[in-house]
Amino acid sequence: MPEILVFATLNGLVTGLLLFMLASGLTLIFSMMGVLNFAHASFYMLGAYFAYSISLHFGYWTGLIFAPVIVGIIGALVERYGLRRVHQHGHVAELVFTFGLAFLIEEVVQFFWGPDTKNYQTPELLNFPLFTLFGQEFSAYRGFMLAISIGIFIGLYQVLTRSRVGLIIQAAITHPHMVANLGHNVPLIFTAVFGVGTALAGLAGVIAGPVLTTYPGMALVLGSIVFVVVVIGGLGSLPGALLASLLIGLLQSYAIAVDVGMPELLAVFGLEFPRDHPLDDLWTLNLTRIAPILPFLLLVLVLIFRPTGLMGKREQ
Amino acid sequence: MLEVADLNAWYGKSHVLRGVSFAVGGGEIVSLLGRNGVGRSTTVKAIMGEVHPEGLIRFKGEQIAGRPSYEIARRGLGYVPENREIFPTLTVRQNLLLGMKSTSPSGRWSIKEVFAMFPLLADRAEVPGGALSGGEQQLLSMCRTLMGDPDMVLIDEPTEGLAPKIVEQVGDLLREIASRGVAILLVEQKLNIALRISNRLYIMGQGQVVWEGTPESLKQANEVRAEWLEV
Ligand SMILES: Nc1ncnc2c1ncn2[C@@H]1O[C@H](COP(=O)(O)OP(=O)(O)OP(=O)(O)O)[C@@H](O)[C@H]1O
Ligand SMILES: [Mg+2]
Repeated sequence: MPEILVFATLNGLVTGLLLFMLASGLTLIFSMMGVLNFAHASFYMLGAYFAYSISLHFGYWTGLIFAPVIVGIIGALVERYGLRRVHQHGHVAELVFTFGLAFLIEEVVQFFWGPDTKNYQTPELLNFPLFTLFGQEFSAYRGFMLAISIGIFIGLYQVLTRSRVGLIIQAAITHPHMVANLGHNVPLIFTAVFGVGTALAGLAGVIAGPVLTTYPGMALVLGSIVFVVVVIGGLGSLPGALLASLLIGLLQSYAIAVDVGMPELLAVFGLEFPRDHPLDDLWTLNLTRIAPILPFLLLVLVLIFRPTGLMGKREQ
Repeated sequence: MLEVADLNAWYGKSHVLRGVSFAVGGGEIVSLLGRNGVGRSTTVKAIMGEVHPEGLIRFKGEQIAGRPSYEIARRGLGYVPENREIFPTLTVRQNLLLGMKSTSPSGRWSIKEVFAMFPLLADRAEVPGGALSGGEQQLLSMCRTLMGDPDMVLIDEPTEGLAPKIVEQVGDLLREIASRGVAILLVEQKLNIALRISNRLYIMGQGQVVWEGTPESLKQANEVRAEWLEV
């Protein structure tokens, strides 16, 4: 049991912090510009594909550095020449725009890389077990993912709370007009935040691609969970996004690790069902199979009992 | 310093400013008076580019209508909005720091001086702006704009809803601003303050300037006050 707990916690942290790498950008963009960017996870997918292609020629590490940069530049261009124009036509137009962008990116990815899964590999250098505990291995690559995500988290926190740019961003979340009225170039800051946010999504794709597999559906799968994260955390709340990311990461990881099934659960209550019962599928459900549904189950519960999310503020 | 001619602005389909014209000279204190909803706030917002303006807005001889807000501010036009817009999560000191357009302190005002002038802000330097009282927020909002060293400030109803003691301090600060050669366009509702500190006054009716003159002439013009100001 303790080894299950240790590994499930570590894996939960890896997933949770990875989710936060996407959720933080999505949240910052939402709270500054009021845009819920449905294409955010598409930038995550682009990161993985770019890194894969770069790694074929120049190795993993070159991809790690350049793929997020390229994704960030694309993100900044999308904001500057796409979103900013659409913005004049209101929020609905913006939503439709980001929806369209998500589909476009998926099509583009299929067009250039094909519909099949890419053989994007973890780097040679990290192909060893970081440590072995109770006879179970924790791979160096997962340790590396954890280190990168923690580094990004600390960096983001420092920039937002300590630097002048961070203060301007915080101020622009509550009163963007006033920030501009004080002489700060708010449109440029919006572009930069969008660029950095999408670059972080790209970085998440680079490091997750080899583990979670690189295929055209990866944006949709992770995107829907990230969407759940920001709603559960409370739209626009960074601490909420962190809390919800870790919550979902750990919840899923524990559900997979514990792997108790309905039969065991029912046995606790002294119940048993014949295997040829028409509802057999239901009796034999186990947590591992439920794990992918858990985030959405949590979403529904949160929306029912706390519609503003865990740390969200009520709209005025 | 500032020249506005035939300024028009809309909120959706409603035509709120219908040809507003006025001017403010260098170092002058000019008040813009009028009843609720005549478009005084919209006038200053249109000048700052927060509301889309149509017409002539010339600042230091250059047309600024349609320029982005941050650029207008950088040319030396400061703005203190009616709802103060203090950044609630940032401390008093951080609010003041963001008033500066660059990291190097320069110009007529410094944080040290602001704290010397208003000990009640100095005492709360590290407190989040959202925790201040309305009066403290008003003083902070004005000082924050001054940190950018503007040559002219637009101040929208700085004394609204404040206790007499703070109103006094706001009045002192307005005089201090003027004494340093900074021009002021003061949007007001309280006639006595405007009469006491202004060089000239304008009165707005529905989306237009309907009267202009000096404090003396307004004191005499009973029928003007009755028609456009008194409720
Ligand atoms: N955001 C807005 N959308 C639509 N109409 C608005 C908006 N803001 C103001 N108005 C309307 O425009 C008119 C002018 O408003 P403005 O705020 O300029 O008035 P004001 O002279 O500053 O008065 P007061 O500050 O006392 O309300 C009013 O009729 C107001 O109802
Ligand atoms: Mg007003």
